[in-house]
Amino acid sequence: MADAVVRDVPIPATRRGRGRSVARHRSIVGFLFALPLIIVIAALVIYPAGYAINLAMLNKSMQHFVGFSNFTFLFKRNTFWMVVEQSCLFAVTAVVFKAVIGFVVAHFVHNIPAKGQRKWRGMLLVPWVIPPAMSTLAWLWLFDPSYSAFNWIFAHLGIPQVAWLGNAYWARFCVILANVWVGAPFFMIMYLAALKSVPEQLHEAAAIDGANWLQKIWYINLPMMRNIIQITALFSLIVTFANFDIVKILTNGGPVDQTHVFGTWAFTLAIWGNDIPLGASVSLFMAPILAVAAFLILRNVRKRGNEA
Amino acid sequence: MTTTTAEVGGDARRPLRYGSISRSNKRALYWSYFFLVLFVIFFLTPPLYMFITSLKSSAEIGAVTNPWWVYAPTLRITQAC
Repeated sequence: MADAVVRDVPIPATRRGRGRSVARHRSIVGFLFALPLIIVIAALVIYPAGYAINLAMLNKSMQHFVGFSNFTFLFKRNTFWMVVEQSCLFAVTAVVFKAVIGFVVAHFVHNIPAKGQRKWRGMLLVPWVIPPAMSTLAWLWLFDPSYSAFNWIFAHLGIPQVAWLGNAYWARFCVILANVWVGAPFFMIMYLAALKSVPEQLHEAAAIDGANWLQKIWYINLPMMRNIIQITALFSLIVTFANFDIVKILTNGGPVDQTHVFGTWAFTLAIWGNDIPLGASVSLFMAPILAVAAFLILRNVRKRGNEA
Repeated sequence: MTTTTAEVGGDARRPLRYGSISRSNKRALYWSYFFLVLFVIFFLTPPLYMFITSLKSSAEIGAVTNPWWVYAPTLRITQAC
């Protein structure tokens, strides 16, 4: 191979100017190609967000600008703080359980012979492919106060019956359970894909070193899957925080507003309470909470990406 | 890459087995299947209950009987749709 010697050759001013104009031309062409997407994003994301902010600053009849009055009104209401607490509890608990169940099930599926994996994957993905509104109806029948199928089993086992949706604690448990049931298969499939990309040689080397199954998971699988775990958790946190259908169908926010999340309470205030600006201001509260979570999680992912 | 064939007890076709490793692998496999069955039961209970309920008449849904069993299956609800 020939060695090339690079020398600093002065570029003539005319060539430099031409190069700059070509670069500018390219950036304009690139911008024009991206323009349709920018317009779509502006129409579908920025405009509705701006409209929601505008709505949140109007009075009930949407005639006059009232500034931050809706927000200060919300801060004084106990129900609002209860909704904040319940939303955080609902989202964090559900995401943690979904992640744990998804992680465990993914390992079990990965552990069985490849030939039989497809049918297990198919069965385990069923909750994710049924529309949540339909599957939540099934949960509603299972928890029904009069004909609860779970209580029927409890009665035959001699266990006292439970007011699944009538008691605040059990109602919270039920909405979290239904959400975990719907979302866990998504985590399972993501983690399974991540597990497939872990080199088998690492496990073999660990086995030779005498590592047990827990050490293999802790020192090999978890570090290799860390980025996908964080991104999946962030994605699920956003979706779970904005959840509406499960709470609406299962408890409708009850008993006594104890299971309301941001989405259902915003709907109740805006549609049933006929106060759209107040509903809009409730829904806007999700944005800063999710922005902080997204910043913290993505900063970690980026940091590790740079380290790699 | 080279392939090494180990001969045990004169039978060259018989795969070489290390007792403890194969036993622990088999045990892990059985546990995996056991827990997978539990998770499949958890994941399939609501759709199964939906299916069972779809085969019942309105009277049977309201009756105080075993909710997990269909005593008089009917497709009337499905046909009405």
